[in-house]
Amino acid sequence: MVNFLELNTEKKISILVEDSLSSTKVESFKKFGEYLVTSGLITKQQLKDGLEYQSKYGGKIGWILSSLGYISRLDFFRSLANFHKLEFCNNQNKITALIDTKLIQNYSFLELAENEIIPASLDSKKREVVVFTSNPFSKKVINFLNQHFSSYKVRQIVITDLDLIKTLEHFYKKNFIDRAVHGLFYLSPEFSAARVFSKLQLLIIAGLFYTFLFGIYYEPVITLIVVNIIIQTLYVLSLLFKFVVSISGALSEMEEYITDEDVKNLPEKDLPVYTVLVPVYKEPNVIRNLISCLKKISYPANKLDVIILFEEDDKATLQAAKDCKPPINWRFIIVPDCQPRTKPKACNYGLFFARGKYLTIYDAEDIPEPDQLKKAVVAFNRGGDKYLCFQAALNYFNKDENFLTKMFTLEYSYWFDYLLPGLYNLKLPIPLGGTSNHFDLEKLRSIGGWDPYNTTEDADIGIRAFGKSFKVGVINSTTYEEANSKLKNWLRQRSRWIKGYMQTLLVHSRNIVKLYKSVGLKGLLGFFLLIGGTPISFLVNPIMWFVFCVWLITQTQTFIDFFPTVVLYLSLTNLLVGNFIGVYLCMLSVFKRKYYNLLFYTFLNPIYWMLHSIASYIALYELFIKPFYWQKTEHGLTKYKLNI
Amino acid sequence: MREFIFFIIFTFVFFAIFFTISYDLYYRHNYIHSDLLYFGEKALLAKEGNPPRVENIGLVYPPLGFLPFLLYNDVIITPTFVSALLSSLLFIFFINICENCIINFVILIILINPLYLFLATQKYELLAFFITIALSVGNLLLYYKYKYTIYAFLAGILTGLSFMLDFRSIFLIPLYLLGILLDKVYIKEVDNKLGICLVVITPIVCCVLGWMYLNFIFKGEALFFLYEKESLLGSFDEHSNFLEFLWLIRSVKFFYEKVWIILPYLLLLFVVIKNDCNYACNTILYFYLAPVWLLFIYNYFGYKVNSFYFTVLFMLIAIIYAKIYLNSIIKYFDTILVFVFVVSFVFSYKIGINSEELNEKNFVRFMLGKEVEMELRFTYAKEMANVINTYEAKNILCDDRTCYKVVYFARNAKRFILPYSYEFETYLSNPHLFADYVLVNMKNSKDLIVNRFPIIKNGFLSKFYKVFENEEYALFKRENQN
Repeated sequence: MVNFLELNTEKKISILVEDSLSSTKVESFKKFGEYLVTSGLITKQQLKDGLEYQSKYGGKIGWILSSLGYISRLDFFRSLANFHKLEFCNNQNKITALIDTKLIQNYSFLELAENEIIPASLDSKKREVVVFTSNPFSKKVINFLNQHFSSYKVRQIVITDLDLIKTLEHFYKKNFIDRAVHGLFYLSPEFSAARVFSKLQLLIIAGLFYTFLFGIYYEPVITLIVVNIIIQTLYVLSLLFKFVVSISGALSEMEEYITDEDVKNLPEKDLPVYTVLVPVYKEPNVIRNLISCLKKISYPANKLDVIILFEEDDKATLQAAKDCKPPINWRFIIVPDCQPRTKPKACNYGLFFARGKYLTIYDAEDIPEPDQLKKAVVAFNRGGDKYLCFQAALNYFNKDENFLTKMFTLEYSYWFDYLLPGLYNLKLPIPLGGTSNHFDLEKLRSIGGWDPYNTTEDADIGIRAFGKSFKVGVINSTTYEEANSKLKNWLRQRSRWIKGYMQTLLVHSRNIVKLYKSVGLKGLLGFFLLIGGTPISFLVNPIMWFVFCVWLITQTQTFIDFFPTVVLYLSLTNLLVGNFIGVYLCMLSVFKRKYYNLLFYTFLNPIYWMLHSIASYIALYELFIKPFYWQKTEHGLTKYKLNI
Repeated sequence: MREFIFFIIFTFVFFAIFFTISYDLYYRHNYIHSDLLYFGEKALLAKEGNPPRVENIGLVYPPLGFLPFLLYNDVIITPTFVSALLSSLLFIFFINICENCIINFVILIILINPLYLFLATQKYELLAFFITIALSVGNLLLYYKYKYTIYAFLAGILTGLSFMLDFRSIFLIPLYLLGILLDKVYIKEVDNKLGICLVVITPIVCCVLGWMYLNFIFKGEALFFLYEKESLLGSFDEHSNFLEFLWLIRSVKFFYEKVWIILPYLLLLFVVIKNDCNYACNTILYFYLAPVWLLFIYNYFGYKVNSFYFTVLFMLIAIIYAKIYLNSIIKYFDTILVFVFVVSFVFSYKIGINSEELNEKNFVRFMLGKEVEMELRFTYAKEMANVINTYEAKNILCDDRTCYKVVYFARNAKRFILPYSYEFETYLSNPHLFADYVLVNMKNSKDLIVNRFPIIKNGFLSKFYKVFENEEYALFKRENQN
């Protein structure tokens, strides 16, 4: 340790660089492995396994052994320090006490988090700097030291990765929170949903509302006819749009984007580090399943960076996770309590500490197909630089539980198997799903991460990415989730989603000219028909159904004036063709999934759409009263046992 | 993109051929199939009637035949353009299944036999029906070969659409269900079989219910289209004697007469039987038998199928089956196929000229450079329309079930008081109080006005006097009119 610190920093750094890049790298790691055997931390067999693993997947032996669960986190970092004759510290109070608060003000907290280093103290006279790091020989650390302390002697003290995060949180908690909450607003305020309505939007809405009232007072029949024409035209356009997109999506069945062969041919040694973010809240009963599931993922453990994000007040889930004793590549990060308490805020928080080249999000109850990450890597390799994200399909493992889960499965099968691939094929903006979206981390950071004020941050990010000339694709892999089996819970979730769609519509339509310039006419129409059309049609549906039912039962002539010939034909087309197309496309998507027992349920879709309408009105109410309120979906309600 | 360019080129080529034939028939021979004039007249009523309403088309016949006329009402351009679109769509479908250019070219030429041309130019709705059925069978075959959902989807949608072209397509459903449910080889799971059944029949069921609903709201009777006089059930042949197996004799007669034209189909039938039965399965055979099934069912229910153009459906199904299943199985198959199609092509001229169906017979005659018979020409209707236009006659009471040709040629629907009008019954009860003119078809016994005032047959109508008469129509004008 001493002789290391006695070396001239530049010289030492150059040695470090050479060491990390030279051909003797494997040799040195082998030695670390032997050191661990000598220390009695692992057996020879475990070392042999680790070396085999290394020859297959690449990576550092110490990290591999820890990721395989052969060494504990503490033992790993302590051994790492000892092996390199560096100091090790795992006393949080001591660490924070050693740090010069004035010194660290000079560095961006994001830079420190990304490089996994914290400068502790600096002696200008001795030209010596003390740093805490959890990754002492990494390229990132060396670059950081080269950049900031090239003429200094460096004394490195090893701390665990979790202590590094805690220390950073200790000093920069407010900054982290502020950036997680307002990061997007600082970067591009026009894309933040923190402001619900722009002044112009308020003026337009008020103007339309007063015009409507004025019309109703002076010319009620003409006004209602005009409103009816607008509604029916929107229905027709929306119907045509969904039909064309779905057919395009259905055709994608013929050409599998990523085959098993592609996955097989992927050179595993070159696989990049993949971050998996899992935001959880009050889900102690599903955390064990989550861990079992993620362990099944076919991706080298040492290249998997799993971050589970806990809320500060959720001790039970954290304890349940700790009890599972996951390996070193799993990190538990506690998101500080602040408003808005939303999933995107937690994800933004996790983003600061993500190590991967790519990143994905899973919910606690998710069961992704094992090769999903590899498929995403293939997709990124094939797609080129322009791709920000690839969305995997979502579906449900408890589809047969009750009426609600069956209908939910129908809907998701259609959405992810037909609609999203269709949007992708037609090069239209894709509203991402809540989980299983695989991001290029650097690009995700460059567009400001998620919008914590938007309650469908996923849909928003898909549109935003499109507007920033990034591409969003889909991959043919499925993640199985838990479908909401309780109506109240479903309504909460659905109203949050629809509110999010309304927010996304409002955010991106603030400047339509700009949106048009960035997404083109096709993209603009796609955006309005999908993001705008969805909540609007759910809001209007019950009114139209009411009129229809009253007419059907009473045969009244009251409505005849509001349906002049052309409007009548349009509404008949919507009633007959629209409902048929809606039902039939759902039928096909479950047919494709081979869920034959659900086929008859497609005929019950109109009832399910009614539930959507109820959720839409709740969403509309919340948009005005509590726009950022995150209606939490409870998970773990299913009676179905997971078959992982 | 390549397919789109092909589509445009084929559409253009087909349109040029069809249009030339139809134009020549119309302007040189004064002939156009009366069905086209009927569509044209109904579209005129829907767009320019009093009041203009789509339901003026009557809601008795399937609506898709009328639809193109609602978009563009021309008895030459509209049908030929639609036929050209459908033909090129069909041809692109063939190309997609098999890219052998020479064979496709030969099939293209041979496909354009006089019977196909007759349908394309004069009975475009029937051609559309045949193509829809053929494509639905084709997509079912493709589904069983590749198991892509999109094929089952297209098969279902096309079957649904076929109902909107000809209600009798509903008879295909039992055959499809038999084929799907009795399958022992391709799909074994019962729930999977039931799933396919549902996917295939849902569109047609929705079309039936939708059509019933439209009948209910516009006519007040959901089954109006079944029981109206000239409708599906209304036109049953009451004289066909089921007990004497007349239908069977008729069907066998069809095969006997047209054996040379449907030679490719019959040849392939043996191949289908051999292949399918080798697998101890009849699924493909059931689908392949769709035209035979339709023929028997039509005959059973008394819809006489004696026209040669019905063989077009047989040929389309034969080509589709051959292209999907046989290209790689039989060596020199393409050559054999081309040969039998050549035989079929030659015989469609040779024996088509003897058809019992006059329009078809005359079309083949025309293709061979002969004249169209006077009886089929629209000369009298056009003459009457000219008279009406010359007189600038308005407020004309007539029954367009017999006088639709005149209404079409007169080109101003508002002049006529027709059965669809609210006032028709009032006018009919006392024509002299309301109508300025009365137009009747003297040759057609179904004319409502002639039936109400039989004396018209003698050239008289109370308080009206005859202003013009030809071989077919008579126009009466009210007395005391300036």
